[in-house]
Amino acid sequence: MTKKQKDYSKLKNQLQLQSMVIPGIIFLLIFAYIPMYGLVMAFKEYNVFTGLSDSPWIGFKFFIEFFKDPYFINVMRNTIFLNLAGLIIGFPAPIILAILICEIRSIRFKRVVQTVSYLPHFLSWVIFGGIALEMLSPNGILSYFMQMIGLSSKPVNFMSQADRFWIIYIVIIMIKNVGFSSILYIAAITGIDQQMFDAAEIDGASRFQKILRITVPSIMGTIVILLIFQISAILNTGIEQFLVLQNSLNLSWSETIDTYVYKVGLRQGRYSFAASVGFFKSVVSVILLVIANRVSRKVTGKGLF
Amino acid sequence: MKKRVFASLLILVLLLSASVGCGKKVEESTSEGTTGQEQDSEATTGQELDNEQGPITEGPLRTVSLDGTLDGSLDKIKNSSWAKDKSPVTIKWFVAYDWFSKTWDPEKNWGDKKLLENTGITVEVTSGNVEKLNTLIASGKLPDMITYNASDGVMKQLEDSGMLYPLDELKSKYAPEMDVLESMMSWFRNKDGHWYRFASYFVGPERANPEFGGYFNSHNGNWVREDILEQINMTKNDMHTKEGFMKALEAVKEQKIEYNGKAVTPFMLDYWFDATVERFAEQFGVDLEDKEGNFVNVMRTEEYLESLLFLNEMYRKGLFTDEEFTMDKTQKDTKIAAGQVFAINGLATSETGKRNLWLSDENAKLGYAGVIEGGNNGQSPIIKSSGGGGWCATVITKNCENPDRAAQLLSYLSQEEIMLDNNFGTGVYQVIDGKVKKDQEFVEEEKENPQAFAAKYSLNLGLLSDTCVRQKYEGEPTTWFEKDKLEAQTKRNAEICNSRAFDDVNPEGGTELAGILERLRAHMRQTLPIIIMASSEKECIEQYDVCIKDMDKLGMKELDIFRNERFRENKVRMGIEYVWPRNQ
Repeated sequence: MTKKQKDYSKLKNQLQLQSMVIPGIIFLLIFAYIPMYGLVMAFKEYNVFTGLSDSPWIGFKFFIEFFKDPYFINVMRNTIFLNLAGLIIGFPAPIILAILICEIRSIRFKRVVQTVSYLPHFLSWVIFGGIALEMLSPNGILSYFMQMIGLSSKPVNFMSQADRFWIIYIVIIMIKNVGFSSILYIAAITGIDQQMFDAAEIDGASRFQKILRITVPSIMGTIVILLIFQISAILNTGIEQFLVLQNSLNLSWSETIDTYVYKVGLRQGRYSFAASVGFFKSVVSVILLVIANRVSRKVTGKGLF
Repeated sequence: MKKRVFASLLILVLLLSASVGCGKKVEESTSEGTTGQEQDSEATTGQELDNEQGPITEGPLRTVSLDGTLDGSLDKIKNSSWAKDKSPVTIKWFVAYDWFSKTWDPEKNWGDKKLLENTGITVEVTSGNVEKLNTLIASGKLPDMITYNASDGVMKQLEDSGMLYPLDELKSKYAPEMDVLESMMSWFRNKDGHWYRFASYFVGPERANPEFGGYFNSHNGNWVREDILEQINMTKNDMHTKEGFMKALEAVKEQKIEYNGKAVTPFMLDYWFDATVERFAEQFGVDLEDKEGNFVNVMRTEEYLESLLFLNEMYRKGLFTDEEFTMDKTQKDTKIAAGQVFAINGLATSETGKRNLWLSDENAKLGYAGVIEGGNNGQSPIIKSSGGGGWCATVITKNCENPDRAAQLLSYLSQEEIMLDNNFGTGVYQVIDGKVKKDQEFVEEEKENPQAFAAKYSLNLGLLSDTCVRQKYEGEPTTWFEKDKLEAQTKRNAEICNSRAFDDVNPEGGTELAGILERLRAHMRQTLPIIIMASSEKECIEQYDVCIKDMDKLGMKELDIFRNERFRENKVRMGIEYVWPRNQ
């Protein structure tokens, strides 16, 4: 029996189980592959009235426009900087939270902590951002607190300080998402064989040693996968949070590729321009994904593919 | 074997659940069917009613003017088109403003009930942003009617693409009594000779005159706290000069004026702070049309720089803080309502906060103080009107299966009586001697719970409204708030210019110039605060020069050429050579 025949017969035997992947494949085909046809929009002067097929080809016009844009360097810097800072500070946070949550012995307290940390994720950016803006305004609680402890003699307007926008942004993002992001790690920790902890206990390992020697290595696979995903998304920031937190004074540090393309592209009906930038971002993402995966394979022996 | 059966079942469930997601539309159309049936019985009730029965004294179908002094009342229209066929029909209406919402509820809402009983039409309104409108256009699934910015390129492209019914044809065929201004039809007439867009808040010469009773509005004005003005021993007239205005603000700061124990900020810019800069330039006598009749970009004028320097001086003197550029509109409204602001610029910013402040303390009046009567050039101020060329426009698409009924709906909504319903509430007022008089019981009801009042009596379909109609029939103001609002529009200390020729000068969406426009806007919003907050007058001027140079690099010159061409075309459409009063 050749290898091909072997594979075929294996597939035939597992037909029921293998076919469970069909809905997923159909989903991917419909929602991820077929829409890829729309990428041609990046190379056409698309107009909603003429439609995609009848719009004229214009080559790389919009790519060049984006690279030559006077704001290109600024928005690129902001996008990469905010994401890198988010990666360095924001990435370990849910891992630490997950480990801490799993170390809590009181079940009731554990549940309270989990609920409280998940809650902000389910609030819309309009509400959550609105609360944050109120707290950060000159009449807000933070300004009041700073005056009370003598750090400032007059009200502080945190949102007007452009160079500190990244700190505010990362802290707000962390508060909103840290709880929800920790779910995956909690699930991974829960899946660790309890016998390992028992054995370590008998060997006299401290709690910290158990975390370092058992918990972290056991969830390393999950950490690596999520890290690779996050690195590949380095040019994505989303726009909702920026629409809420952005103002004229912090624009020089808060304008990212996504928000800029939304303003100059989508809001003015220039879909081809937006598609070109989207295409550029996807290409960068794929390159980063492959590099991150290779580096991870070499360093940790774990990777996505 | 059991495992296999289980796996097969699981796949089936997954596939089915996927198909359920795709099948939602069927459910929707089924529910529409139900609505249609329900509506059938409603409409039959409507058919039983007849305008010829005589005056109705109460309820949603109340005769609005017993003395007959409302020229455009429904009962004066014999054989109205909307009453000819009252068979149930649903008109789907997309409003491309995501903040707009209208729930159709003829059971509870008197406006909806009146509309349904008079026309048999059920209106199904959905709303969203312009991207959603573009998606609808791209998918070819346009609703029966669309409303969006009257002068936006999308509306023009919709006309040119043949996706719309010409309203002039529908009007003459199915709705001859549609109350539309000739000037509006002519302003929005397409090159093909047809009229497609029914614009709201369009100010036409037919109604904006003393005989009819309408007039131009302007958002350009200053509002000050009358109670605080008394405390600092100054009057509104003192604030009609640059020096007096500044002196008043400084007095508030120096005297450490407080309200409810909190410090009062001397000045607040409009939420759209770039508008405040432009408005002060107008107050300082800028000319927005040159002697040859060309469009003048206000940003390039000396008065604009003068305005920036004026604001810069205020900032350096601590009369406002950088918070002006970080607060959103709600925060500004709240600050005004809390009584923490002495003077503001701009009507839109003043309205909500001003009302709430006055409701909580009737002595805390943020009253209209007119404008500053000129700057360094010694010219008297000319201010632009707001929305002379209309705000939003409604069109009927060729996807509409009942264009006759849609046209009749527009006709119904265009009547003066329905415009007054939109403004004052359905069935809650009488027009006596040509003026609206709200019944006292309804005045009390509104005071008690404004939201509940609006939900019950407001038709909330004022998308065809004409301010001049409200102005004509509006009764004498009974409260300080109403009186001040009226004074702001009728007792101005500056000449007003019809803004129509200036309203429609921007490039159409999707074009390269539209991209340039958006880049310029982004640059302006980022740079203006830096100029205003400059540490000295010299730095302010330097920053301004850099800003103009940068904007030229971004394409402002090309945009100026385009705007000038459009501006000149607009004047031809208006049939005038000069639009700026000083040139006329």
